[in-house]
Amino acid sequence: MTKYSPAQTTRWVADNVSDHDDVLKIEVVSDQVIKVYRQKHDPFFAGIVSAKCVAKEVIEELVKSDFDIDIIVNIPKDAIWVGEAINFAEDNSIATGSYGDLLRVIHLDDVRSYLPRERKFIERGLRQHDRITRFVRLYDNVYKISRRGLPDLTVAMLYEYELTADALRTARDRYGAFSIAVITNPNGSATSSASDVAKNIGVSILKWGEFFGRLNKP
Amino acid sequence: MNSISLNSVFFELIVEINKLRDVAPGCRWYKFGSAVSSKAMVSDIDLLVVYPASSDCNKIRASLAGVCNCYPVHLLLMSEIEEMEMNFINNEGAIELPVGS
Repeated sequence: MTKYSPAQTTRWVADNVSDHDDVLKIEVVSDQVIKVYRQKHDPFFAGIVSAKCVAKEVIEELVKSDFDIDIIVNIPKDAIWVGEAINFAEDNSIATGSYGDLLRVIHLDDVRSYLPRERKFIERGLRQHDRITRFVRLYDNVYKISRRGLPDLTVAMLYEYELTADALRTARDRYGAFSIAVITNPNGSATSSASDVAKNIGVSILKWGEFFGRLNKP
Repeated sequence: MNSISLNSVFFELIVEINKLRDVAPGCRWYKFGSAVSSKAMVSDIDLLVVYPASSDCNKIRASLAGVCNCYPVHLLLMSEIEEMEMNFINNEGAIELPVGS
C-alpha cells in the first residue's frame, strides 16, 4: 500500500483548487494549511486533513493554529468524522467537511458558518420532528436520537444512490452498532443483498419518509 | 479537479489495481459519475468495482487504502449479482478502466 504525506495531499488540493474559476491564487502556508484568495470575497484559510477517522485529536493543532482557520476538510471519501471533532470545530467557529465542501465554500462570503448540505438537511429534519426531544452526533452520519415516551435510537444516515451489501457492512465496521440505516438520497435504494445483510446484523433499512414514521413507534 | 490531476489519480489507482489482479481475480473496474460526465470541476472520483466474491471486498479496500486516503475517491463495491439487479453500469454510463493493458 502506497503511503502519501500530508504535505503531498495539501499540495494536490492546492493545485486543484487553484483551477477554480473564482479563485485568484492559492498559497500553501504549511503542510496542512492553504490560504484561498478569491475573486469576489475575502481570502480564507483551510486546514487539510487526510484521515480515515477524524477524531478531536486529529484536528486539535489546526483548530489552535495561528492561521485562524475557517474550514477543516478531510480529503478521503471513505472516512468518518467523530461527532466530538465536529462539535469541537463548531465550538471554535470553524466549518468542517469534505473536498467537495471546500469547493462549495469558495462561493460563500461567510465560510465559517457553512454546514455540509447533507448534515443541514438531516439535522433540520430531526429538529422539526415533534417526537424527538434531542439528538447527539456520534459520528458525521450517525445520531443517537432521544424520543418523548419512547426508547432512544441509534441511526446511521447513508447518502447512497445504491446501498450495497458492502456499503452496509463497511458502515457497521466503521460506526459500530446502529439499529436503523436511513437512505437519505431521495433517489436511493438498497440492493437485495444489502437487505439480506441488514437482516443478519439486525438493522432496518428505511427511506427518509419511512424513518419519520418509524420515529413514532417503539 | 482538472483533467490532468484527475488522470494522475486514475493512473495511481490503475497501478494499485494491477497489483490486485492476482489477489482478487475476476473483479471488473469502472469509472463513473462526474469524472465521466462532467467537464466542470469535479468534487470526487467515482470508482466502481464489480466483484465475484464478497471475500474480495476487504482485500480491495485494504489495497487501495493508500490512494483512497489521500484523494477524494468514492469506492463503490458491488457484487456481480447486485450490479445485474441494479443495471448500474448501463444506467450510469460507467466506463471500464484499462486494467492490465
